[in-house]
Amino acid sequence: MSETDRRTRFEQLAVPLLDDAMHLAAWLAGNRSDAEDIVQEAMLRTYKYLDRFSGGAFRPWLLAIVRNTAMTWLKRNRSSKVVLVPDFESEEAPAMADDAQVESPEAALLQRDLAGELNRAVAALPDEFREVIVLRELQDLSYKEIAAVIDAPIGTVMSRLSRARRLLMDALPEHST
Amino acid sequence: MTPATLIACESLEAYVDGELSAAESAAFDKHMVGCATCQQQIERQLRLRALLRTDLARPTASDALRHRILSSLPQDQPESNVVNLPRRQWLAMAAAASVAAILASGATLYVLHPGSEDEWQEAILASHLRATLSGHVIDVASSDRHTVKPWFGGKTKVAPIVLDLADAGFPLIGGRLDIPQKDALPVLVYKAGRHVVSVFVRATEGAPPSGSTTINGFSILSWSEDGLAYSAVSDADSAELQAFQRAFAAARRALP
Repeated sequence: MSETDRRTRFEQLAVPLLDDAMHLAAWLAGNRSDAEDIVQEAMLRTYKYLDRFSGGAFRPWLLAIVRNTAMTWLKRNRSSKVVLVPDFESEEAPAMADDAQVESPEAALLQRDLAGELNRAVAALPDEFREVIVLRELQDLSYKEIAAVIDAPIGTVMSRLSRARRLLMDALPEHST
Repeated sequence: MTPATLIACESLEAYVDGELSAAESAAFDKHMVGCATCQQQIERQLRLRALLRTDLARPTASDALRHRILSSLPQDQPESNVVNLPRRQWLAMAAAASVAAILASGATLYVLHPGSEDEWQEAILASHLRATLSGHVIDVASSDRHTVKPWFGGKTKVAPIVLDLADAGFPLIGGRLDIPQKDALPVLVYKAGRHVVSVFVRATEGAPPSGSTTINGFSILSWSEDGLAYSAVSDADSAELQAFQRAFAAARRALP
């Protein structure tokens, strides 16, 4: 593959998925600046290994690279510190600003509190549970695709998802789930 | 609890995740009718999923990161970067230049006709271009109108009709929120062949605008439906947009 072809393919396949890569990296790293470094490294790897992509769905393939890059990167650069409040938490929870206009201020506030609690609860999940939740609910991957991304059997995906959901339900106020 | 129901209860999450086959899914439906535990659990699962899908933060890639990545890729001939720019990038640059031109002319129009239809068209075109250039065309990706419509719920002041037009050759790919002028508006995103169609929805005061126009090679077509004004923007040609609008109107009439 010539460099020009490779670049064109990269721009067609990988660049449109930058935000997806960022969602996953941010939730794995727990903060934006580490996530950006991870995404950059993962994208360079994607570019380099582009001819190994053998068809099928590109998104799970790319997310597997992001996930593996994150694992290596975090092992190398992060001590085992636990980040309970991700620094991107309030930043891009979709379109909160408008809620106040359509709901009562109290309802909007409650909703915002709940969103905050949810984000903190997800951030507090152990890594292996957090990644399956993000792959399932943010990336909308199937069990099979998640299994490929995390390189584990489907049964493991199912049991981790189930456990993660139970942990989240326990962490959130009773009426909300 | 018999072994059969035990298996069924265990399938609950796979059922919610859409991972059961049609036959398994039907069997679970049957089981659930008689299982209060499953009925209660399924509600909790659906609430949690809705919460995760609407409120979990989705940090996006900044333009700086995008740029850093693109400029760090190896080049064939490093000293002749400009010549080697792939076609897409030239197109992007040309489009960016036309955004600038549009924004500039938009400013002039604003002075002449504040709040006019021209100003609206310039604004939604710029917004469509921003979305396609940045690659951030959709906030919620789904071909299922029952997913897209609730996603808008409460985020905007208008609730659009979301129709599935895949049969007519215009598959729904999702929706996004955009602020072309002063309000957050729902934008439905469809595909027309290789073209992206952004459909902006707003409430109108007075006579709803209708008709089609072309700005810098982009087509804009406006029509009204149930008291809301719809404006479709695309680089597809105006005949194709008109076909899209006919499909939209026909699908609307087919709704109960």
